[in-house]
Amino acid sequence: MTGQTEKNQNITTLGADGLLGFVQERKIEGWRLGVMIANLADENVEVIYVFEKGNNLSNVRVVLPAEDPGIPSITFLYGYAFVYENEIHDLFGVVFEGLQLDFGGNYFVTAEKTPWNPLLARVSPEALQSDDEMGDETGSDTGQVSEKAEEGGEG
Amino acid sequence: MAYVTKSPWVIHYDGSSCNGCDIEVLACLTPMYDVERFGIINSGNPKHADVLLITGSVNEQNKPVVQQIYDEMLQPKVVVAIGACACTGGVFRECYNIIGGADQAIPVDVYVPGCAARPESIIDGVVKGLAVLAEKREKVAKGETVTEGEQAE
Amino acid sequence: MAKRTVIPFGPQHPVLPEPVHLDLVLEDETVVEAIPSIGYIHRGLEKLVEKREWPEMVSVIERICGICSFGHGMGYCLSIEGNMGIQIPERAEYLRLIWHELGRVHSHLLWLGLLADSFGFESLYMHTWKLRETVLDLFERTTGGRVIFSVCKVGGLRRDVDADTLALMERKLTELVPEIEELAKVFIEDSSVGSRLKGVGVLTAEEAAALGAVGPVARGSGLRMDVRLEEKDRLYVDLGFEPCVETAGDSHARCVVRIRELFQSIELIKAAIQRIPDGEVSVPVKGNPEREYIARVEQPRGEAYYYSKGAGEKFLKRIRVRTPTNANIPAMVKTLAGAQLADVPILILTIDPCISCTER
Repeated sequence: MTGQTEKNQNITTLGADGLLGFVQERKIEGWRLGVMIANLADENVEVIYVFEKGNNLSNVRVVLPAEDPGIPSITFLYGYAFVYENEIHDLFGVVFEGLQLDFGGNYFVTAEKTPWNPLLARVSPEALQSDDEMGDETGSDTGQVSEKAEEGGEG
Repeated sequence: MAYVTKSPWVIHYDGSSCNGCDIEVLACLTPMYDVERFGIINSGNPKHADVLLITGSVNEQNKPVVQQIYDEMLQPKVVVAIGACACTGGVFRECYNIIGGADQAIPVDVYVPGCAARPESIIDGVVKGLAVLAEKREKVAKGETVTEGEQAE
Repeated sequence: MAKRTVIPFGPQHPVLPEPVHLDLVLEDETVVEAIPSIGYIHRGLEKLVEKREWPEMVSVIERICGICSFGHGMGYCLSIEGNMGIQIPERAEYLRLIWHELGRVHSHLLWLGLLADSFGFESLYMHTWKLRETVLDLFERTTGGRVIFSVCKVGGLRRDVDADTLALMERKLTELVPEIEELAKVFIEDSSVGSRLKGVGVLTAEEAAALGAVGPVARGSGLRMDVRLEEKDRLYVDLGFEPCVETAGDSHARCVVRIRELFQSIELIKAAIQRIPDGEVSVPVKGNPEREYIARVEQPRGEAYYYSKGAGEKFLKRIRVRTPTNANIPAMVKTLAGAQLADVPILILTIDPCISCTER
């Protein structure tokens, strides 16, 4: 069960603005989206995109500030990315702009408050007051932020 | 098996198990272990079932589902928690999304240990459950109220 | 336009032992759209890395799914071994291959049984599961467990299998082949089975590629895709592995792919038993994982990813597992649209959904 070569493991770091260009290139060259991985690291949320083609992997990392993680959605290129993007949105608070098939924060209903992103809560204490007024479309997203803020306030 | 006065029908619900116990529950119904020889049939309808076999632990999202299935079942009824997860939460006990064993949502009568629970112990647990069922049936026949969650194992 | 009705499917549904929920939007008897919602068995075990040391995580990762548990344990070990640059002994590689392929035989037999149940052929279901018990007995004999094995560890395996037991395994599997052949004949040739499967849920090669399908779903649609091939895995290449591909893209094709893989896996196991070298089954492991590593494994249901990120400590920073069912959900949703309501259980089954894999 060996045979994975070292070169496949390199992860290039890109800015959020360079992502779409990179992904578009992969799409044209016929790569498949393997998986999207999100990590919480210090002051940042990082999203790793893994593309595969035959024996090769092509990986890219986008580092986002944890207070305001926004990134363009790639669902218009890779429709099936919705499963990963919804999950990362729910668990890490990353906002995917232009996400097709948005579950609005209801992809994972969890016992623990998510997203696990302590910095996200700090910037929006006002969300606490506006909790009840949240509309249905955007509700769960900001709703969760405010829940987190509430928790932070108690502790 | 002298106390078995009817064919007990079971219903199976997977809480948040890893599938290991679920396929062992199904294995009980297939030719190697064949509980159907005791008249035990897996039913999809809670109102048809006497015994609820629950595998896996309870989480926020499936708690109401488990409770609803339990409520839909008619008295007398017995709950058998199968596997370490359904008993206590098992290996996933400390996961953020796990509330705990099945008894966090509904009253459990019999606990079957094991990860994954072996078909032999599942059958053993169901047979223990049948004794509880017989007791409850007598109480129902006398018009007494049935206390929930008598623990047999 | 006919009136639209929404029918909830699941979470408790007789066709699947696992809870999955779908909102089926119907026009009369035809499904227009299927909206999946998950989370009934989400445990969140990826986050357990913060509480369990990395050598212990093998048993947690193995319990992602009780059906492909060996593959999950192995995938995690591969990821950590790659992370730390460990080369496991050759005998351990062979034994991993044997158990992994044996797991595929057990998983595909299980699936065939459930498929038979979904189209109401109960005696076929019972017969398939009877054969599966032979495979589980082999597992129990060699690993000690029927569904959860706990034999993989980082650096190799926890236990060896002696030559007599391997010979017994070979004999038992040889005996199993004619019995599976008899069964396969029913699945492939029987006209009533064919009328439930042929032309149902067609997924073209283009659609399968565009929806990111993996495993037997992709191979049933004519995509020659298999990690065992793509990773240029030395053992599989040596054993002359070539993925089973069917082109029809319907439920019948997906069924045929899995049946062919049953025979193929048995052949691979037998060839591996012939060639297995003597030696140790594990190497000592020192230190902690320090970097990121992505490993891939071809599970019975398709390709799975295992990402590990270490920081030179006893606790890993992150584990991410992408399971095959997760990748096949878009394909399932696609085949459901336009299907008859009565075919929905079959279509859900033909991707061989493993919900506990998907939700982890």
